[in-house]
Amino acid sequence: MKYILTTILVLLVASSAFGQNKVTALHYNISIPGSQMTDYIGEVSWLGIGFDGRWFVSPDRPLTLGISLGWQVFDDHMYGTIESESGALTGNQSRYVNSFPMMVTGHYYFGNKDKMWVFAGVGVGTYYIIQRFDVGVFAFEVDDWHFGFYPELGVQIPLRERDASLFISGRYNFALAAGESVTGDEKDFNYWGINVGFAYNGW
Amino acid sequence: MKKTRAGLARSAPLLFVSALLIGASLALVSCTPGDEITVAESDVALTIYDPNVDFGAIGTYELEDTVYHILSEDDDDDISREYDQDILDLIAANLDARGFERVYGGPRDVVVVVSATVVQNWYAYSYYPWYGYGWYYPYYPYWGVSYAYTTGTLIVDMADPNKPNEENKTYPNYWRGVVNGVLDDTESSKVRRFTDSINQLFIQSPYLQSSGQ
Repeated sequence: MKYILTTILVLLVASSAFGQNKVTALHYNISIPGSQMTDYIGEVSWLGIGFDGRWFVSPDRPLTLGISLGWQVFDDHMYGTIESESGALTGNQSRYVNSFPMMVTGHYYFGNKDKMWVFAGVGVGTYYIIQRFDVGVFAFEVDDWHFGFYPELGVQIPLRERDASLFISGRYNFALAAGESVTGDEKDFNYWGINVGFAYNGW
Repeated sequence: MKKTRAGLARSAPLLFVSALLIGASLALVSCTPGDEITVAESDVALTIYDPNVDFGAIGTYELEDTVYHILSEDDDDDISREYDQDILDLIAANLDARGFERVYGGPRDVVVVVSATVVQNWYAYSYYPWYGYGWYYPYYPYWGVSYAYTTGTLIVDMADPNKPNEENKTYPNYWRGVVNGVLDDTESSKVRRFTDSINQLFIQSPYLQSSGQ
């Protein structure tokens, strides 16, 4: 985590030092499990943070290429029975997923950047996902790199300081299945992401 | 483009807000509630069975009237026998309720053997949410709180003595129930916990039902 935060800070500061034709955003993330991930964790995650750096490919085209990094922590706790083909296990369970998306992104901006700048885009890359399953005093952990992508739609609303803006976006993260999960099956870890933060932009 | 002093001044609020955002995230992380489990919440009931066995065809069982203690060579046997009879009676009551007939010597379809073991472990937890609220043996945490705990495991096996494997000197095991939990608890709570857990072994094994033939 220390390295991720350091990386985010370095990128934030570095991107502030170079040119105006870019967007740098730091946002708080809320995520909602979707698809097969809900079999493992159903609770909304309120612990998430993300960084986006976007660079315009040319001064006269509202198209950016960039990177996106994030960290989302999901957890769920329950008492219950897990059944398999040849047995069952009952106890208090704690389930965790830590997702670290690391993406290359492309976005298209439209609208008036001085009023409301709307953007749509995609991210493609990898989700490093750590799953942990605790039952009783036993714990099981699996980590995998999941190929994935996300479509994203969002807005940047300028604040009084025109180069700064409120950043709001929604993503659907497709973290495709990669090997056996901690519960023994193969599953994707898709989730919705709602991101709210601040962006610094210029031209 | 080189950043001007005015530009830096303009972006200062943003950097300040960003720093606040990071700080708030860290605060959220470090305030994740310490939801470490209680001893009662450590209880686990595990059952494994051979799906090729027709449990309905099993009519009689013999329950050995002792709880075997599993020890390593250097260990002294300090496992309490205080509740052995209660445990055996409870297992017999559950088997009887499923239609199996207990016999004492002579022909029987299966033998039920009960064993127990106690292990000293280290349990530790930290508030580092990456790994949730707990850590687990054999890893030792970089920080957090740790303490020694004793886990008790009770194993109930249902084996067929009529089909010995002469080569391996074993009997086929049709069903195994395992109860595990932290032992450091009050006596009354221990009784309630092992009663619930042993009953749970049978609740989650609905196929354990004799047809009475």
